Order: sequence, then C-alpha cells, then structure tokens
Amino acid sequence: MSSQGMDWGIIPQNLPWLWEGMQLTLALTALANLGGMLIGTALAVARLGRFRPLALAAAVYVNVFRSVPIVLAVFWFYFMVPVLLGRPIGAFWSVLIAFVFFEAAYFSEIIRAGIQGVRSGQVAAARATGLTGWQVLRHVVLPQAVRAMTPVLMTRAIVIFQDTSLAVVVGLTDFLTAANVVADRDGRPIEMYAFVAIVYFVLSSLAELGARWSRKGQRA
Amino acid sequence: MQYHWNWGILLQQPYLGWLVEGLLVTVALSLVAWSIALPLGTLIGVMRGAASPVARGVGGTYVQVFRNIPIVVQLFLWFFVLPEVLPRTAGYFLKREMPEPEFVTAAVCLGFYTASRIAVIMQAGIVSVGPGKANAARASGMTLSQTYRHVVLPLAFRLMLPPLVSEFLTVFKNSSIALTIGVFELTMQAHQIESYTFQGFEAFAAATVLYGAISAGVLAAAQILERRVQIGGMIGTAGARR
Amino acid sequence: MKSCISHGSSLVAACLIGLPIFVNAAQAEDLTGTLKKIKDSGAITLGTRESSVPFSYLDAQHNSVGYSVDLCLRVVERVKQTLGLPVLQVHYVTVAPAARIPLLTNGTIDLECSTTSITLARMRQVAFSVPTFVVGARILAETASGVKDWDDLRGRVIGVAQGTNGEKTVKALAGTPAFAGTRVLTFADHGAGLLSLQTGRIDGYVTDDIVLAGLRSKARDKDQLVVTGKPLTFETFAIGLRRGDPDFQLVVDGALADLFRSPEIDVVYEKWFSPLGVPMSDANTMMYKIGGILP
Repeated sequence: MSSQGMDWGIIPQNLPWLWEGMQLTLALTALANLGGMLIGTALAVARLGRFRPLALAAAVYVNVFRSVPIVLAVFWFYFMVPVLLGRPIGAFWSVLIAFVFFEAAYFSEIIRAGIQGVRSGQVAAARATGLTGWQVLRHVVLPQAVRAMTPVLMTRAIVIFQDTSLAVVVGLTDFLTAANVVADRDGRPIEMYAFVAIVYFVLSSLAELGARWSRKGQRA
Repeated sequence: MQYHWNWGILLQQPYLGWLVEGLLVTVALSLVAWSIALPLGTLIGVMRGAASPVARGVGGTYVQVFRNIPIVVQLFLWFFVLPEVLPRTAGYFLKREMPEPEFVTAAVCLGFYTASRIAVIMQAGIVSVGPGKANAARASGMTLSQTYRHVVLPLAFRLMLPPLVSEFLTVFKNSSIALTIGVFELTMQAHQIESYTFQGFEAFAAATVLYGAISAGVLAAAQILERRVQIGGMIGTAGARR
Repeated sequence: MKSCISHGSSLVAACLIGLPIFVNAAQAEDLTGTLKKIKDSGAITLGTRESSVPFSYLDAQHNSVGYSVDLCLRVVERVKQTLGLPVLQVHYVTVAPAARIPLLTNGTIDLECSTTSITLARMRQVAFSVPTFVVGARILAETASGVKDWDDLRGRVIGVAQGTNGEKTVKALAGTPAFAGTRVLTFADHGAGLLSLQTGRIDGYVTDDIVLAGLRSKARDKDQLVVTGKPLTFETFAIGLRRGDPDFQLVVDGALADLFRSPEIDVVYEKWFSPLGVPMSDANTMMYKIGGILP
C-alpha cells in the first residue's frame, strides 16, 4: 500500500455506523459503572461486615478479579456465561456482565476505603439515636463514603469508558470495533485510528474537566 | 447446555507448552515495557515539576495524551499507523526487519503508556520529598541533575514504592492487550487452547491461576523490598499506600 | 380408530377431520431442540462473518449477505414452512472465526453460515449440513512480490486467520525443515490480513481460494494482487448446526438438497461468483450433483 493521499472523507461517510458504535460504547460505560458500583458496594459492605465467611468470600472475589487482566475476564464471561446459564445470551450482555463483575472488584476497594474513612463517632452517634445497623449504613455511612470518594469514583468512570474499547477482542461492535471494520474494509487505518484516538482524547479530557469542575463546586 | 470436562488437556502437549510459552512472553513483555516506563516516566515526572514552563508543558501534555487515549487505541496507532506515516525505509524496518515486530511494538506501547502513570506517581514522590533536602544539596554545590540523581529521586522511589509496585502489577495485566496484534502472550494462548480443544473453562482457569501466581510472586518480592528500603524517621509512606 | 369405523359415517367423517389435528398436536408437542427453540421464540439466529466475501460478509449498508447466507435463508424458509409460522424473525450475529463453534454450541446462534469446513474435530462439538462448497487453500500475494507458490514463501512471513484450519495447516508447514525461518502471523479476521498484506507486513495471506478471490475483488488495489499457488489442502464448507438434533438436521439438509437438485443453484452460484470471475469448478459441479439427495 503506497501512501496515496489520505482520504479523510471516509469519516463523514461512515459517521452513522461509527455513531452506532459510540452508542454501544456509552451504553456499556453507563451500565458498567452502575452495575459495578452496586455490586462493588455490596462487596465492600460484606468485607467489612461481621459475618466472616461472607467477608472472606468477598475478599477472595476482589483479589481474584484484581489480579487478572480485563481481557481475560471478557473472554471468560463471553464464552462461559451462556454455558453456565444453560441458554443463549447476546454478546452485548456477556461483555457487560464481564465488565460489571470486573469493575465491581475495583469499586469495592474504593467504597471500602470510603467507608473506613467515615469517623467512628458518626456511627456511634447514629446508633445512639436508635437507628439499626442497616439504617446507619444506608443513611449515614454510605452517603458520606460515596461523597468522600467521588473524585476517585469519577476517575474510575473515565477509566471504564476507555476500557470498553476492549470489546474489540470479541468483535462486539463498539466505537473502536466499528472503526476497525472500516479501516480493514477500506484499507484506511491511518484515518480511522487517528479519528478514534482524537475522539477518545476529547471525550476523556472533557469528562476529566467536568469532574474537576464539579469537585470545585463541592468544596464551595 | 452441556460441557465436557477435561482438565487433563492442560497437561498434554502442545497445550502445556503453549501455556508455558504464553507465561514467558507475558513476563518478558512486561519486564521490557517496565524497563522503558520507569526511566521515561521518572523523566516526565521530573519535568512536570520543573521550573521551566516548557518542561512542565511537555510533561503535562505527555501525561494528558497518554492517559486519555485507551491503551488498545494507542497500540493500534503504534502498530498500524506509525509505520505508514514514517518514510518507507523506516516503516519497512518497523514492519519487517526489526526482530519480533509485534512483541517490540507492544512492549514500546506498553512502556510509553505506563510511563505516563509513573510520571504522576514520581511527581507525587518528588513533592513528598520536599524542597528541604534538594536545597541543602544545591547549597553544598551539587548541580541540578546531581541533586536529582543522588538525593531526590532515590528518596522519591523509596517513598513511592507501594504505588510503583501496584503499577508494576498493572503492567502484567495490561500486557494482555498485545493479543490484539497477534502476540502470543498468556491470555492469547489460553484463547488458542480454547479454540483448538473447546475446553474453555480449563484453559481460562489455567491462565487465571498463572496471573494470580505472578501477582502473588510480585507482591511477595515487593514486601521484602519494602522492608529493606524502609526509611527510618520518615512518615513518607502515609498517603502513598492504597 | 376402532370406534371411528364401528360408529356410522358421520362419526367417521368427524374422526377423519379430527385425526390430522390430533397428529399435528402430537407433532407440536414432539418438537425438540432447535425447532422447538425457534417455534418458542419466533426467531432464528444466523451466525455470519464480517468480511468473508462472497460467502458471508457485511455489505456497504452493513447487512449480512453472501452465498452461505443465501443458502441459510433457504433453510429459514423451509423452517418457516415446517413449523407453520406466519412470520419468522431472522437475527444476524457476526462472529469471529474462533468464536463460531462455541457460539453455536451455547445457543447464541442456530445456524453457522460462513466458510466453516467440515472436520472430524469439529464434528465432536457440532453437526454439519450436506457440503455446500469445495475449496483449496491458496495464497494471496502482491504480483510485484514474485510470490507464486508455496516454496516462494520459505523464510518469509505468512498470514492466516486465527482459529481456522488454514492456521493449523500453515503452522504445520512452517514447522517443516524446508520452511525453517518462516514466520506465521495470525489475524482476527480476513480484512486485517489483507491490510497487513497491503502494508507489507506479510508476504502472503493464506486461506481458501474463494475467500481470497473475494478479498481481492473488494480490495482497492486489486490489480496488484493475485491468488496463486497449488491448493495445499482441500476442504468442504457446510452450514453448522447443533449436534444431536436430527429433526432440525433433516430440515436443513432437505432444504439444501432440494436447492442443489433444482436449476436455482446455478442462479445462486452466478450471483455470488461471477463478479469474482470464478467459474464453477468441476469439484463443485459434482458436489451439487451428489448433494442433491433424492427426497
């Protein structure tokens, strides 16, 4: 392939297709964040709880998922979830489940740090007013933990946005994979990958700025 | 949905050989990448805290760029785009004449990416060391580079050991992206075994155990290292531990 | 039945009318495996490929089209008729070569419609329809490179697609002493392989001759590419379906056999292969004759 002139025109030509991919990327990001947070919080609570077997199980879960590459987790879930469920499941759901369970381990560590950062005086005071353990957790500890960890959580959200590009390893048509198809089909890797890099860069930078700005607002 | 179990397949050749080969490639890839990332990252970290606005700008831009583009996209840029935008002979070298082009490209990409994260860590480390010791060193006649080499950086490294260890572990995990350009590292080998034998559960379990072993090994070595370089009298590690 | 015969003609009529309903109800209850799954969900899922021209690929509108897809759609028609469904939704899932068998066995797809060749190893996991095409493994190279046959690839770099038979064959070849120093690179899909050939990363891309012809015809610089080399191995393609599902197998094979026996198959062949300039080979002509199993 001689470096014939670049054809940046293929980007606008394929914009609808690329946009579809981006929608999938955004959907994966949002859902993985949500699911990861929920399960991560449950894991954090389990680890700090008094029921030892559950705490141990949660610890094992977190350590296993934090020691493997996300790509391996994606392969695992992509091929094994349908086998375990005993019924077919779409690629999107397999990949999403993989991301949720993987990120939950990381969220769990963040929330756990947040919970441990809540001053014990708060908990004691809350119990003294007659709230049950669960109520204390729900109304006093967790809100404070999340608020304290918001910057880290936001960073994690941006990381997840970038991690969704790994859907390329199973051919799930996210933004990167969509660009990949065009690059291969039309022989235009330079234009397509440069475009992908710029889009990710711009979106991530904007998200980072947004996070920093909201943090300033919080402190005020 | 039935599944035919066959754990023995992992002990058969060529699959066992594939797993071992994958493990070796993962370790080699990670070590080469780390050997690029640590010096480069330290340099960028120093630049980010430098007096010169140019240096700060370059350092800052580097980190911004390499942090906000997903690592897979960076790899595709290195592998598919770079050889095409360079002059023909340079491009040909990268694609054909260089030994193991896929491995080298993946190692370089991983190195440059990790360097941006090390830069942030080292900058924090340098800030933790504080200006006191650096000023004392300059006052006693050392040049700027001597100050960094003999006073600031050694201290910064020891203070930042926990996050650096964490980053080292992350390199091993990130090395798996090399499979997208055909490097037969551990995850790829597990995938290969799965596609040849259809024993996915066994293959991926083996890879999981091996990654876990790498993690455990690195953490154990790190604990020994941490004890040996413990700096008496400095509350330095506070805030650096995760 | 005895009661039908012994009680007057009106009852006989009633029984005769009732009998088919009785039989049909039995058939409906007897549906198992894929036919049951399709009937229950009202949909069938075809596994296709992104760029295996002209068998299974995505056209400019990103629809799944191709020779294998057309054959699968004939099967879908037959399934629709057999199950008596007024409407049958067809879902398409593009799969990478390495994923096609697992996705079939785990139920994500019901028919695998691409360029999967029948091998004994695969038959341990899935079932195959009657053969749908015969191909040989050849080389796609740039004319300028002078690569004409397998010996020309000695000591050079050969590309193959991951998880395909071509990968195993070429790796075995590269392992022989005559081919020492030959590197083999694997790619996630044929499009990536073509790109690597065009950028000079590999000296030849090896896969089935028809797939290569298709890749070449869609390439931007097709006049600089050539499909060359004696076929290293022969393979037959077939449509993949789940194992242990004889009723579904019968529907699939029946649809294909009827197609092969009719002149329609020539039309289908022409549609996909004349744009590539590939006339029907003797092997394929014979294959259609053999495959046109009598009802």
